[in-house]
Amino acid sequence: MLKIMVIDEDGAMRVLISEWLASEGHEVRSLPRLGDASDDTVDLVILDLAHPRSRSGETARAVQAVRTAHPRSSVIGISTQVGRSLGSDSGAAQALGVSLLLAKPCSRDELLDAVAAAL
Amino acid sequence: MPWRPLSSRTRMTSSERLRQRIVAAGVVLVAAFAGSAVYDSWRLYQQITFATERELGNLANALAEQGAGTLQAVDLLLRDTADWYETTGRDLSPGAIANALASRVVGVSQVSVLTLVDAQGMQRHRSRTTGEPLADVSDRPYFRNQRERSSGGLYINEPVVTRTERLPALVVSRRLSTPDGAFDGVVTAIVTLQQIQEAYSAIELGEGSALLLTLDDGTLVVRQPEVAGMDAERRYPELTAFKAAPLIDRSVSAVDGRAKLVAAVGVGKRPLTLTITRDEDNALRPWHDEVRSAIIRTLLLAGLVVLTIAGLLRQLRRLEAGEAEKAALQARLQKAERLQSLGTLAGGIAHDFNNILGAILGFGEMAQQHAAPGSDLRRYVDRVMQAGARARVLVRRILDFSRSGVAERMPVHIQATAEEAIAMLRPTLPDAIRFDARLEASTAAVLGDGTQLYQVVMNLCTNAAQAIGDAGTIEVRLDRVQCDAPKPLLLGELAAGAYVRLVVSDTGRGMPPEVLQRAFDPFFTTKKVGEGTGLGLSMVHGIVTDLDGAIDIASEPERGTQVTVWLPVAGEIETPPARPDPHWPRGRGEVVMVVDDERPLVELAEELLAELGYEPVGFDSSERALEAFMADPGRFDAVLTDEMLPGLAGSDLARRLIGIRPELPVILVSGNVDAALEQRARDAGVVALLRKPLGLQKLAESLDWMLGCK
Repeated sequence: MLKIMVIDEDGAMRVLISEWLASEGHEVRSLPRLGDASDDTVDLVILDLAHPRSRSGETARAVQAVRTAHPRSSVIGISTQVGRSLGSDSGAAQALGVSLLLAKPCSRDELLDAVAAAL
Repeated sequence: MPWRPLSSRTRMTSSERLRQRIVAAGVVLVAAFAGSAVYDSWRLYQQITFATERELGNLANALAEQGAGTLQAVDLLLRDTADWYETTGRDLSPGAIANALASRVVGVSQVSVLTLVDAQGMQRHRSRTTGEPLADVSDRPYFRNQRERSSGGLYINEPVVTRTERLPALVVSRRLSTPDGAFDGVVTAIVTLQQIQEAYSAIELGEGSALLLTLDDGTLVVRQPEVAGMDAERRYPELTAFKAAPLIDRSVSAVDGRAKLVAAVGVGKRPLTLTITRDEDNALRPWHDEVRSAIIRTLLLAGLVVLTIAGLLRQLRRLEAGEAEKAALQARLQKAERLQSLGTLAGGIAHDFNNILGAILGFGEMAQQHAAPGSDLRRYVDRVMQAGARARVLVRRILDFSRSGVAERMPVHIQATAEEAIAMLRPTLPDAIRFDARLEASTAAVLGDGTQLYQVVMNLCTNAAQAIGDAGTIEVRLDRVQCDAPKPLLLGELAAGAYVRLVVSDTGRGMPPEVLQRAFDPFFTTKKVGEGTGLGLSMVHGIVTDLDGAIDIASEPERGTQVTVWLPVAGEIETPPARPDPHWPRGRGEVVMVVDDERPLVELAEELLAELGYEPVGFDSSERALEAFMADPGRFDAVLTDEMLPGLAGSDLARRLIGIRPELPVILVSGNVDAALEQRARDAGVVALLRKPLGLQKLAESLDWMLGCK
């Protein structure tokens, strides 16, 4: 059982992902955006990246903020702007600082495989 | 944008007006030069003519005056001598008479000899001895004239060679009368022509000019300058006519045929005419010179003006061309920017849609799992999921177009990607569409997403096929090019650099310019509703631009379309092996004949077979394959042939080969497998009939199975 945090502005997606993870027995907390509190007990953060190609670097900063708040956790990015999911060996995922970059929409199996791969 | 053509039109007319003005200014300038030259020439002509006329007139008047004076003196001498002789001289001794004559002549230098002639015409006395004997002059006109009293008093004889001096001279005479009035001879004064000539020779007349002294009957007395060999008998009665006003006349000389200015003046009241002529050509020579130089000057100035105007016009044209180029570039960049902003918009839409689709598909998936298989509910949810999947594909395309999506960037073997796409597409095309592919990019790598690049090739070829319709040709070219200078394209421009160039052209219906201008616009389509999304070219544009490449379209209605894509070369890459699964059955070097009329497909099949451990031998026509087989029937262990071959079809080839070697295993491949073909394959003795495109695994299994059975 893992402690997983889901950060997504879209309510329906937040509920969906939480439900999938909870059905696997994980402890899930979902938030529309990253809170201020720091917590080093979180194992994994699933972070929605709305603008992965933003030139200002806001996405990379958001990922960095998550890593600072949850130093022990891995980060999976999920984005509507990705055509196909990208593994940890892809340049795009590395540039953003996430373990994996998941295409949204994705199936339940894809998400669970990604969680397994990220850990 | 309706304002654009309008503004460009007004700009065109304003520059057109400027051009017209420049040309008009030039014409006016040249006309002004020419006009001023003509006016100056006219003025000069007037001045020269006037000066010449005045000069000739004055000279003629002065000379006539002088001549009249001379004649006056001669007349006076004759009159005085006649009086003296009639009253006193007659009775003097011959010596005294001669002396008296001599003393009278002294005062009149023009008179050479003064002679007295008696009534019979015999010369009696001379003012001086001339060395000639006294002669009989009764036959001379002056004598007869004086005797008949036909002239009033003074008679000027036409020039004759006198018997007194044997010199040509004018003989001026007066009658002598006895006291009762009877004829008593004449007194004559000889004025030699030489003397007259000498009097005039001092006058510088100028070139082309002549002075003539004539009697009123036209007899020439003296001409200055003298003309050697001139006809002495010639008469110039026409000159006498010029004596009447005006002072200056113009005439064409009967002597030399030249136009002349003529000033003819009567010498006092005497029957003599003094004429000065001057060739008009000579008189006008300064004018001719001036006109010539004026013409040259005007031509030079006109040439200068023309050169200046040509320079100005060229500068104007260059300026315009530069401006037009700038405007065109601006337009292209604007269009590219517009597409980019549309892309940003589409990226936002894709984001929202994907979130919505995520929920639909995610919850749908869960509903699907909860619905009992076979139930109505399950069927409905399945439909929802299918529709959702379609929506997902559509949004992915929008994402590709938008350039806001994140895709993998890795070196892609573009040649292999294109081959793969063509191999997939080729069997689906009608036979009447000729597909001509020449892929020569070798091992060039393009940094990008293999799937996206595959989509690019696929999309362009599909568009070409759809543009062609029933019959035509699709040409696909893939090569490497070096672009040395930025090249303007339909949208934006191609930066300099090394590129892989993909050209897909068709002989289809083409596009009119207004459609071409919108070809990349998302959701713009000329296809019927439901046939296309209008995203194909937008997507290609998005993908290519995102990879720092460029795309251009050239199209002509009814002629066809050519789409060119440039993708930057990112080094070299090993040819990717067609990776057969190690678990698949492999060959052990058996020789397999491969027959297909598409060379790239033959090569692809050869590669696949080589990967599987066979030794492929490719042929691109069934005739050549048959020939090779006949030459050595035992060489081949198996045959893989396409059905659709020009000339001998695959099934017929199979029949012929099996006829030679009945145990030979033949695999027939076709993109269009139907019952009739199956029947034909069975009849021919073919062991397997495979559907195109060839699946590697299926091929491996079929070959292994066939060769195992053998």
